[in-house]
Amino acid sequence: MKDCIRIVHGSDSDFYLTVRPSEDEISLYEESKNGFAKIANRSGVSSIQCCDWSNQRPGMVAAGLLNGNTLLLDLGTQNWPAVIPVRQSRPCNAVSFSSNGLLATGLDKVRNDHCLNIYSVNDDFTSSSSFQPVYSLLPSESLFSLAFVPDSPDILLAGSHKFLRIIDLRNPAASLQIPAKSAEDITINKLNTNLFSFRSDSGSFSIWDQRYLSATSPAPLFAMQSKQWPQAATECFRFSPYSAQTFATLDTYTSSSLRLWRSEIVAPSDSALTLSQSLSALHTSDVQLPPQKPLQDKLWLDRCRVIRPDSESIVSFDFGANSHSFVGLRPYGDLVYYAIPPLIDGLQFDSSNSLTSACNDDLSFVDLKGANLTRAMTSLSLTRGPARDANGADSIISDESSVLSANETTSQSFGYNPVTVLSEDIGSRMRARASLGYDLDPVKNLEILRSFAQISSLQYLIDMWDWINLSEKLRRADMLRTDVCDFHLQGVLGIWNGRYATSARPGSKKKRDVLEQNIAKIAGKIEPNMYINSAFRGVLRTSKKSNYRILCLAAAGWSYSDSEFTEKLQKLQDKGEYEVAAALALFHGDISLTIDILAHSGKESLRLISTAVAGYFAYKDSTENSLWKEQCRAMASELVHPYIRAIFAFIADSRWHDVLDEVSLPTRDRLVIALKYLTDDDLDRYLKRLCAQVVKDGSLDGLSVTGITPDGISLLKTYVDHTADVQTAALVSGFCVPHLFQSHLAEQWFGIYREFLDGLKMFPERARFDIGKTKLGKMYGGTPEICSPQIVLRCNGCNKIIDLSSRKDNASGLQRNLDPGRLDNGHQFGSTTCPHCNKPLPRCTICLRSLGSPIVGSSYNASSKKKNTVYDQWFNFCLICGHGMHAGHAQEWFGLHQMCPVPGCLCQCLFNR
Amino acid sequence: MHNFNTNHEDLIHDVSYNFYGTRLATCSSDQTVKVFDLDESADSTNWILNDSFKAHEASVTRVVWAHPEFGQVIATCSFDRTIKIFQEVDHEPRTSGRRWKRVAVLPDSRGPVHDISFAPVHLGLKLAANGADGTLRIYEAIEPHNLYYWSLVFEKVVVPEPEGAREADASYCLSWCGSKYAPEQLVVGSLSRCYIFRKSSDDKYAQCEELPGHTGSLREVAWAPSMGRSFELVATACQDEKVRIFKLSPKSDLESSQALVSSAPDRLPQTADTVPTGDHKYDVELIGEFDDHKAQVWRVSWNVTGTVLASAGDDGRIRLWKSAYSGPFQCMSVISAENKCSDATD
Repeated sequence: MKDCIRIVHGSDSDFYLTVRPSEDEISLYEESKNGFAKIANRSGVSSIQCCDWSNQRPGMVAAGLLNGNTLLLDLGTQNWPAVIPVRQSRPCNAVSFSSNGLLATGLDKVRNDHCLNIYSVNDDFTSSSSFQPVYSLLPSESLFSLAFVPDSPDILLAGSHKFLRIIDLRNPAASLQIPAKSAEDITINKLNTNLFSFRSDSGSFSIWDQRYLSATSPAPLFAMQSKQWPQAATECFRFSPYSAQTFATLDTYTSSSLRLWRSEIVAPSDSALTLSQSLSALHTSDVQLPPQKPLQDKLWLDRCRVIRPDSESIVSFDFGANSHSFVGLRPYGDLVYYAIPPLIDGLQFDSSNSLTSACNDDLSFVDLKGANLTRAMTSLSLTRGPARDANGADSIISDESSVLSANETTSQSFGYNPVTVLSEDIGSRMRARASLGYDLDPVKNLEILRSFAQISSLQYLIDMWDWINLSEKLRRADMLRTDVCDFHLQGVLGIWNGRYATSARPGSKKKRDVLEQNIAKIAGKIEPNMYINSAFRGVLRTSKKSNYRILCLAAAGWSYSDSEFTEKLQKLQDKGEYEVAAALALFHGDISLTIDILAHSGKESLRLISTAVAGYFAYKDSTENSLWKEQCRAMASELVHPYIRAIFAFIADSRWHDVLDEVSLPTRDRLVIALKYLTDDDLDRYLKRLCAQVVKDGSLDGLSVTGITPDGISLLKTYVDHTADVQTAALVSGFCVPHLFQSHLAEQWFGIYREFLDGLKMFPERARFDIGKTKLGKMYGGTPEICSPQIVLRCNGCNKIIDLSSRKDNASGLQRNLDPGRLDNGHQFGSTTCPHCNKPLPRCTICLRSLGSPIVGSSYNASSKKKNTVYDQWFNFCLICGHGMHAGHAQEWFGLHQMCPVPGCLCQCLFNR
Repeated sequence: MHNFNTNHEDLIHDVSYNFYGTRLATCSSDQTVKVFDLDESADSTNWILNDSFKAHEASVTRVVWAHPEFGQVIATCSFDRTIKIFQEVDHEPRTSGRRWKRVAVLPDSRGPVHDISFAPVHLGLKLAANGADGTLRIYEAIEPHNLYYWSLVFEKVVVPEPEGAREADASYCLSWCGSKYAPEQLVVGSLSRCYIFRKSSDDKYAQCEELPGHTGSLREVAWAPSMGRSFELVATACQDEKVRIFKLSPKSDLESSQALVSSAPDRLPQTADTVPTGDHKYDVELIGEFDDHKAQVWRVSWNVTGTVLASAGDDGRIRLWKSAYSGPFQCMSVISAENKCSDATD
């Protein structure tokens, strides 16, 4: 026998019995605060072959020895054991206590002697007691394993070298047997005593049901076949004392891994068949049911979990004191505790990004429902979870911003608080924004975005809405359109190419002319208000498309007059953004102003920079001074602030090309530079390149280049691919689709965004989105889509639709009936017949008058307090049984009843909604 | 993170939210199904038992909600080889055990049914099932208001039933593509094979792309909500201890969108893009393969925007995966589930 451990369930606590033949030792342990405490020990028991313990007498253990004797020990006391001797010396292979005080011992075979002896150990005994077997059975049949069935102590399972026998002690001669070679380690499932398992000579376990052993060809419920489980050279098998369907095995093939099996016993498939037949029998009366055969239940394996002991191997195990622990026995006799990780089976997100998991028989929630979210959103910087990573990365990867934390390249887990991860997810962001009223109103959207705590990561959205807001302002001021052309939201490239502005046929010469005229007209409107310095004036003079440039500048938000510009710079300086103000002044062509702003910034570093710029200003016309330029170029690539970098990139060689490729500058600022300084050809090339770039990157501020045009949709597509922010995509494209152009993608986004809001029960928000979109459409002369009527009344007589809207010319009785103005006159309700065939309309099941007739009834008398409202006159139908009545009557009836008022109709109208 | 005691007497096998996230259904080895309603008046989440009822003759493996358009309907499947459809009966009192009426039993499977799923609402009231007989079945209630009659519209053996199927630690799973703008399709995991089934232009389901590389039984597949993206994501949980994420990019769409960007300046502004026509084909690309659980993975689930993936493994942990802006998916958070009893004893 190998070392083993078993759990012994005591009356108030559980013990662990270890039997270690290798050390001639039997010990009893108790679980204590710091591990396991040995509470009893008996050493010096040599050559133990088998062992069992009594559930009747705590501490009583029987051990079969190599010489065939059986020792009865009481671990609680230190008395020398009682010995049950055998007549002929041979190994005792199995012992088993029954629940009524019997002890069975199984021996190797010898000639002319029984191998199974059963003794009564009920009485008190001492070391001198002599034992006589109550039963002696199975002559000359080597026994390997014995097990009494716990709840029927007369039944004994015995595994011999040829058979597995079920012996009923009340009639031992008639034992049931199945052929099984060397059935070892018989284990009975305590929670379902019909089930038992044993190990065959091949080393694999099988599970059997006692009840089906009498069958002609008994088959195991479950056999751990080597084909499915090649590595399953199982050492130990234990049924769980906590769940009838669970058992566990220990493999020694791989470095001792515990397998926890869950099985499922399923009634034979015939019962399922019968079910379907009996169901169909409900519909077709005569079905021949096949004669019932007693079929064996089947055990299906549900799942097998592998629990790997961390370091050292174990030689034996048993279930621990609760259903999610194991206790293992190490080779050197130590006990070790293993927790079974909870089974998480069931994992689902709901529409509000809360995560629910089923963990054993409980649910756990990571909850983002309700008010939690907005709170989390607006104070996100506070909820940053305990970031465990050593690099101290303080920014969680935001799905929208391209700014990644420093350790983005490592594939390690970030260890953020799950609530933080989920509330920073785009799903939660879209929900939070929508609940605050994020919609088609750019001003409001900007307000909402600025209210969020994590404003820096939303800057690109703010910039985009800023641009849309500006475009909307221009539209309201009627700046970018004439009667023929409309450059609203066309983007710089759209205007430059004049691509989508007119409805005239493309390519025709006429269109070009119309376009030119209108652009000139608009530019004429803008130009007087725009501050144009001499440098730009020069560019405009040489440009063939100077009017286009002016339009483009206006569309990019650069139509400042001189005073407006100064004011803007002042605002920036007030906010402390001296770098931006200085750079803008430079882009504007006013270098002295740049120097001035930097010099008065109050920051030392900026003042130093101002001297450098001043140096450039002084020597800008000289071609010498290459060392100085070299320094500027180096500075341009090293400085951190993008605007300062842009300043140095420019003054290093008085060209804008490096600045134009500075991706950290907002697209709109770069556009302004391009529009002001590049030649026509360069500008054309630059815009095309920029457009391809922003579409490829999906950067939203690129919309000022592409506009909300098909190119803009492509840009949004990339953006959605990266972020799943279908909200922004739907809102932005809603400004132009479908009234300016059609887009399949945009329609998808609308649909998906609507569905998203529906899933959150945000129906008002969804409706506001639809209304806003229709309003925008109307502004462009579009016609709102009204869905066709979903329910019509059709006359029973002539099968024609009783359509009220088509009969506006001669207001029929029905029309009047539904017209509150007429009702107020207290006049007669008109026709109660079909306008087509004059057959009477359906009757009210309460008053039995036709539809269209005035309502009468006890509560509708003139003296009644109840007001005869218009609604009460309306007709109401149950869509299940098709019976109808006046709405007033329906209210009265269903206030008291649930069933249809029509006699004999069993429809539960009130509930069958 | 907080726990909620369901009073199930055995392991829970599935938990499922309805469309609005206001109702919750659980099913368990104790053969019962429980339905909980969210107490929407309370500020904190509070789930109230609506009803608990015995649904099957064996462990109930999955419970799923139909879209509320079809009423309050749930479907369950079980080791007892059947799928059942239940409908809420309004006039029966709560927690009476009678509130959910069984309206249909679908007994076609020859083995335990492992997974069922309702098709997205725009496809009608359809239910797909995959189970231990290796067969994918799709049922449809032709008249959605009559839940008593379901017809089997598709049946195909995906993988032949393995020898000794009962003893095999096998699993079968499936997940519908929820997008209204993609063809009708679902991903099916049977043993270690994972296929996409798609309705082709001749209105028949056909086995299409395979998601390759699994070396163990697939425990769960999850098709991410596409949220208007131009590609689809499918995640798989596998016995081979890996979470995998596949990206399916349509083959045909690519060229047309490329052509758009560089379109001629005088293009007609009527349409920005075209409705994809013809039969879809996907390029399948494995974009993530993670063995962080170091134990077999039982569950994967996408959030509503398809941006966060949760996975649960035998290590008793839930991991949240998320991708950076166009970057790879990374494990962002690890949630340890605790055993209830051990908490109490500590």
